[in-house]
Amino acid sequence: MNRVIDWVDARYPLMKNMREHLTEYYAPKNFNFFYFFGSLALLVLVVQILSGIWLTMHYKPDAKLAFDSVEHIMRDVHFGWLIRYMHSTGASLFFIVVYLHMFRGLIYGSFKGPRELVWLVGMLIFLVLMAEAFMGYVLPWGQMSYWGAQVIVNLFTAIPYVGPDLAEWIRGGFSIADPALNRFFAFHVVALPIVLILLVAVHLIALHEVGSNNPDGVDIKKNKDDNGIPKDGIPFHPYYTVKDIFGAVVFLFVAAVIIFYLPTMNGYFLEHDNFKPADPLQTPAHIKPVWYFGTFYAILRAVPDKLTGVVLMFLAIALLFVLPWLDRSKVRSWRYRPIYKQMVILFTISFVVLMWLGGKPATATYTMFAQIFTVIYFAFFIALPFVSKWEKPKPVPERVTK
Amino acid sequence: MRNWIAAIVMSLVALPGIALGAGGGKLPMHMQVDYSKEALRDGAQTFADSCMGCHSAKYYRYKNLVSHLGMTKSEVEDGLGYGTISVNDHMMSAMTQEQAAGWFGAAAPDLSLVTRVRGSDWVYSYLLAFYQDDTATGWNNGVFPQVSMPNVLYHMTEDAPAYYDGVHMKDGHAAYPEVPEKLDTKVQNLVSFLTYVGDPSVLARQSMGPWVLLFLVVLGVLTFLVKKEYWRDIH
Repeated sequence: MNRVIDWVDARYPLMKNMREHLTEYYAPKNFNFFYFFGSLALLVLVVQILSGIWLTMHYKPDAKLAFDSVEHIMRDVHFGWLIRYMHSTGASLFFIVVYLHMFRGLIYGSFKGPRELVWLVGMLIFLVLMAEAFMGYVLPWGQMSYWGAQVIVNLFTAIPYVGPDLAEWIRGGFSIADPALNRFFAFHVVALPIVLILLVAVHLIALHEVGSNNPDGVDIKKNKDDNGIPKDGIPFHPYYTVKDIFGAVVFLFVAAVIIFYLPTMNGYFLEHDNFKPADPLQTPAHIKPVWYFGTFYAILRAVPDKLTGVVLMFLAIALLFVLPWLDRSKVRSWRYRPIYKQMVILFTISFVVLMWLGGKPATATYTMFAQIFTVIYFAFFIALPFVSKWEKPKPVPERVTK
Repeated sequence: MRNWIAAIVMSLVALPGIALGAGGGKLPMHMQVDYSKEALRDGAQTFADSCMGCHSAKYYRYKNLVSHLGMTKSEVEDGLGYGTISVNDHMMSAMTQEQAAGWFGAAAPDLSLVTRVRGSDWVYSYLLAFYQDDTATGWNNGVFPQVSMPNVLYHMTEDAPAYYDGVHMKDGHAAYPEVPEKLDTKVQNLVSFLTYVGDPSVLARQSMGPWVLLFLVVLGVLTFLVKKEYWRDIH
């Protein structure tokens, strides 16, 4: 065995990589609950790719056959229902895990220097993930697949001058139809997964270059022992591998409860209307996105003007990209930033409420609430550069706390 | 200091209440889906006898009645299908789309996924919401007004006619007498069958589920102990 490793090592930096990324990658010892979600996101990505490969073996990307082929998977393919429910549940869990992962970055200031690039690459992953989820949602070719795609692609028509032509180019026609389904399938199963895997690799390499942040936001590399090892650091392997494996089992338990007992999650993970085949002649009374797009959809609808709504929706995501430069505080963690902490709580409340509102019909009352919380959402980003400058942080400890 | 956060959270609790006014009508009836083999077989029989003249369940194969519900091949082919079907067929209706359009003005929808789209309670309420009026079929429906489907359940059980005679419109709302037991059982079994047809994996999921969860609990305990052992020297 050793000779095999030596043989490989002479030709490829196997042990060097193992040391740099696992056995001698020193992570802070005070990781808490929120630090499970990075490794869980990786786990879900693997599950989605594997279940996706098996779905692709039976799915037909053809407007005439797609809906039937999904029912064929659910009924006639051995354990097809399990593969499909793993994939559909995995999609929603992916967003739960990623949102919590991003929330962790927000509260402990992990997006701040020197981890700006880790955050930027992470935001790119989020962007690609949204595109991946949207196109995947179109594939079952149900009513919500069809009309959701119609609404989203029509957003591009709001762009002045080139909008309508651009939307037509994306669709491959005047409305969503077979060409759109076919190209979304190509993007969903080939193009975007490749981009996702590459970005995840870059995300991890960038992280391991600068080292992990921690709930106290203190720099563990400032306190090293005689061997040059951070006093508050522990090797990722075995400590965090065994911890993350336990976290993964708990996560799989939750996933199994959903897959086996609540696969549609009462219409949240698999929407009721999507069990009706796509019908271009019958517009559903209430077109709504899946829950994880709710926040951005609510912001879009909160504005009466279509172009402004689209701009605000993209801005809602774009502002997250520049977070490292909007926050000018020297302190990272919200534990030592009382005002920032309240701002983050308020921002999170508005994010969740908007998410809920995105699934509701656009009545006057709902629209009013969507407008209020859209204002709060953006107020966070507008106030951040000023508040982070004025705020008097509490004293930050030298070493990590329990 | 946190008062304002508490205030926002409190006001949000009231939001769903305000919103409820905008929601759709509430269904008059609720039932518990019964996935027992007896109930599902009875429902399958009712579906074949009373629904399949017009409706199909095109995604469902008769074969599943054998593999899932333990019926024999001849029970399915001769009992359910009166010798006109093979156990390998899908549940197709006797009426074609063209005939339906001519006779009822609309094609009878395929019912494979009706409970997935509308929910079991909706189908249950709908089947018990027929009342007589002067439309073409002589029947209207309190849950689905102006539906072109006639009431095929009127003679379903001996207590059914009295029930449906008692359903009537009052101030624009349908009023329902108490559902008699025999009719209720028949309709509930039928809706249970349709719910199962909507997602036949439910039987496999329910029998596998506990074992999968048990396995994950055991694995969870083991991995937790491993984690604890490794972390003993970290303070």
